[in-house]
Amino acid sequence: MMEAALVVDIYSRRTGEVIAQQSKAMIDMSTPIAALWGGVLMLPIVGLLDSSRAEDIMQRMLEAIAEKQATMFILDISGVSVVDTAVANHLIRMSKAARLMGCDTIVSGLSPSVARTIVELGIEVGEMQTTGTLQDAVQVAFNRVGVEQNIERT
Amino acid sequence: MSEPETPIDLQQVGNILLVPLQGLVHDELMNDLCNEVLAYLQYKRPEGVILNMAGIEVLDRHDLERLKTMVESVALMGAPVVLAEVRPGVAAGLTMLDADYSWVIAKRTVELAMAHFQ
Amino acid sequence: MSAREKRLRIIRSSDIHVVVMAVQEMAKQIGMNTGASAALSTAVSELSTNIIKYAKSGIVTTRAVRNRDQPGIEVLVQNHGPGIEDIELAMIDNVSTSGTLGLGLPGAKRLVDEFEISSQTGKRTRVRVVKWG
Repeated sequence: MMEAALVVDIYSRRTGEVIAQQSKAMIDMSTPIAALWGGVLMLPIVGLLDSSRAEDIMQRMLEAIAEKQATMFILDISGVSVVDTAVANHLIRMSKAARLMGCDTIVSGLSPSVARTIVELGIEVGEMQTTGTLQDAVQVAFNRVGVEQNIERT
Repeated sequence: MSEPETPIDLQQVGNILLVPLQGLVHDELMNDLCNEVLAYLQYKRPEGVILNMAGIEVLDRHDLERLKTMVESVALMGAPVVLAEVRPGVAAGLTMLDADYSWVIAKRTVELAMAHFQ
Repeated sequence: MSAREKRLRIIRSSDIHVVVMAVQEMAKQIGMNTGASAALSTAVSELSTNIIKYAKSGIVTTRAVRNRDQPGIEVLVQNHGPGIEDIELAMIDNVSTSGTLGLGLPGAKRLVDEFEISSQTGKRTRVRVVKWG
């Protein structure tokens, strides 16, 4: 007797060929993660942040946190072209994952319009910290690791 | 009845209990380990427990539930629990699975976890 | 059964350990990167555990595959059980028909590159995933 299998959800995000091409593009486009003082890492994100890119960035971010045993990570989004609910959710996911690794995230480079968009869209950023400028984020990060290093000494 | 034996060595450093988790967190092992840690708490009364996650490569939401059960039981016995050294693959996996790990206190290293208890 | 394919029966939770190790072993053999290996292992662990929770037993088949440029692993997770009545519903995040964790399907889908599910009510459910890397 023939089984009538009901196939209702087939999902194929990428074919192999597309992956290979994308990988090459990624390597060309991917900015290195900068290691600042005191276990602080920083990565500027530039351009469109779609789910595929977000996943790659998160992977790199988490691996860098492990490799450098970082406790603070700054994601600068001043170069991100569109910040909508989807992008915000990607950033929130990244910061949650980093937090699970014991690393706090600051998202810097929020323009006034982006800040308004986040509020107007009702996006819950939760524990994710944000700053307007990269400078502020770096200052906050350095203060935080300075405090942590003091605790370790006493 | 013989005591459960887990291949995990509990280690006390100062007044903190260090539990190095290894391999995969499946049912029987976690149950035994949980019992062992709770028994230890009755006897030695450490002020905190650190779960060293460096040896855990894969963790799904069900594993996380078992971990949560252990963490909450231990906390009820009076010792707060901190996770240390969670691996990138574990953090990414649980995040993509949309697991709820908001209850976790995590530090990057065992040293930082120790500092947390001071 | 060649070395490029492995078939495992899962009945109790300790079997999950064996399945995940088989996936990781195959990933290492084909040179898959650690991120992809961890993601696939996590998805397979989640899907296999669901089988044990909601059906009596199941079978997991892992197979090394290849496209033009990359090695990959295909994993089939199938069970003989009640089946899923409404797959569309099951694929929506945060909806579960029994228990707090639901089937974990949307999450597992995010972790892999190809995801296919077919279910016949009262009979079997089959999930096919592929991860490249």
